[in-house]
Amino acid sequence: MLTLTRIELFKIFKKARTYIAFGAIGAIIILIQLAMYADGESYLEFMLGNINTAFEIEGNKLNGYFVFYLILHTLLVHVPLLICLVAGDAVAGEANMGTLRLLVTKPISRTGLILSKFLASSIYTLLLLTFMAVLGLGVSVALFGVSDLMVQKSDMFILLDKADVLWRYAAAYGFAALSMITVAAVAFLFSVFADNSIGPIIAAMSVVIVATILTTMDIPIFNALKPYLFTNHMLNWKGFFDNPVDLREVLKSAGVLVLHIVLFVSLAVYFFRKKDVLS
Amino acid sequence: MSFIIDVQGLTKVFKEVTAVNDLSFSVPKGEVYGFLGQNGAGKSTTIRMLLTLIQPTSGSVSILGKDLLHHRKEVLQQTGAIIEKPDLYKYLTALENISIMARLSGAKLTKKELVRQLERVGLAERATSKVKTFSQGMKQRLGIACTLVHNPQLIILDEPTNGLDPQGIADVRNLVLSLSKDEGKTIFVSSHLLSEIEVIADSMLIIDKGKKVAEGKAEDLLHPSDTLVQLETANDVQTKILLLANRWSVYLQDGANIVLKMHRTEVPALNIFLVQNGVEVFSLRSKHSLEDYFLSLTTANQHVDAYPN
Repeated sequence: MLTLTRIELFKIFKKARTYIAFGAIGAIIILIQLAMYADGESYLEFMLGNINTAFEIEGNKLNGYFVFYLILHTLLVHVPLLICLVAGDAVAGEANMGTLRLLVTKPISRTGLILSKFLASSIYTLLLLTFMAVLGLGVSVALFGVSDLMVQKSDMFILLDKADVLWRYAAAYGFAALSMITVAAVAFLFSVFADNSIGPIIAAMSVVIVATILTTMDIPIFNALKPYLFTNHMLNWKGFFDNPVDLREVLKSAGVLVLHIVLFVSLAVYFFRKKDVLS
Repeated sequence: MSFIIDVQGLTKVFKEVTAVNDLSFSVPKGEVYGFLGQNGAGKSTTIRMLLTLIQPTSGSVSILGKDLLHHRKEVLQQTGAIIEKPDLYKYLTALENISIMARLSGAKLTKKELVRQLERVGLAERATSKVKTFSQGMKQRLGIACTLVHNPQLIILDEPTNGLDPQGIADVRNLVLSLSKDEGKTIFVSSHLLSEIEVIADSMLIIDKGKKVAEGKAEDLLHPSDTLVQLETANDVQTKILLLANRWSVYLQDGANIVLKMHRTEVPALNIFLVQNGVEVFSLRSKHSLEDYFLSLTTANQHVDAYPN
């Protein structure tokens, strides 16, 4: 399993396509940081609105923690689409190249093969998030310094002490990893059925987009669906920036995501074991 | 005699199409075994079942004395295969490809040993070149090197000379013969071209529409009792009517004017019959080669009923 996963990772990182996501994320992060550096104060003023007139908020509001929160808020909606590029290609890309039949005729179990591919896709996802965290948090802190974090919720502002922020980012990173692996699992499941990567990538992106729309629209009929939509739970990384953190709610969402991952991967294994490799 | 492959009643049905129908055969150890059939005859489906790419609808496959279903890993450890064309990772180098294949097959080889494997197929100098820069012949040779990297006992090659130039075909042929004669490997090689198989195979199996139509030693099949007679006359249409009316079995094939299948001893009688009926014969040629035999077995669907009611 370890050898298989290493081989899969080697193949992933030898493909030019792999680096599209890193490039896109890097570009977005740097753009946001430059924009904040150039005109962050105006953005803050707009965000705070008449709060500024009612209260006097002292200190470095436009700090590295705040900029990174903004980056996370923007990126965690779009990163799933980038993850689909690699996870959707995992099996279907091999089928398209004709190398899937090569792999299946080797003395390795189909279950081992498919799990190693999923593991490699998950490791890729984690590396992408780590890249995002290092670039987003590291450079933001270097550019803007550290101070208390001000987080806007729907009906309030929460002020978090700067000494109380880093662990929240670490926990949010873990939760975001779980969310992104759920997306990878969806793309991976589609990948098992296809003989070229475009189909599963588009199918997985479509599922994420439709489910996200259903999650964000506040319509009663959609509200009934929300507890069952993984996209609804994916947003709960923000729960770590509540004060106090509703740990029960966050863990419940994490549990739902884990269940989705287990379900999607189990289905992928089941169908791949039965699949006639005709490509 | 010990058999490396033993297939019994193998059948594969895709929805309503029976691709392989109750196929049974045995491949003796150390032989080059030719697997012949026209395109769409069921060769690739059979090979895919031998390699666990496709699950059979029914029947059993035993390789190296082990049931494939229950000992898949042990069997595949001793098997190397190229299916249709050697699809490799084009964005990786030759060395990276062969290294991956070795590791997947459970072989632990050093870089030096891997380069030696590439040397065997004349690719050592291109070891660090990406496969996307290779010609079809080079890809085929790399595919063969990848197939042999874990020193398998059984080698399965599905149409190994497809897309190769004459030199490439000769290279593959020589390699197959060398692997069999010098290294004692068993080679199961499929083709739709008999000319390829007849020069390398010790035994062969011919299938048509998923069914076995002939099996045996190449030399036995080379001298079948039946022969095909190709006729060219002044009026082929009238001659055909005359022959059919007189219960001669007429085949149509390959744009030939008239082709008849008969026992060799009947050829003089045909000649006499034509002369007695005033047919102007330009040529009467008895085609007696394995190619004709192969075609006669696999073109049965083009057979014109000799006894129309």
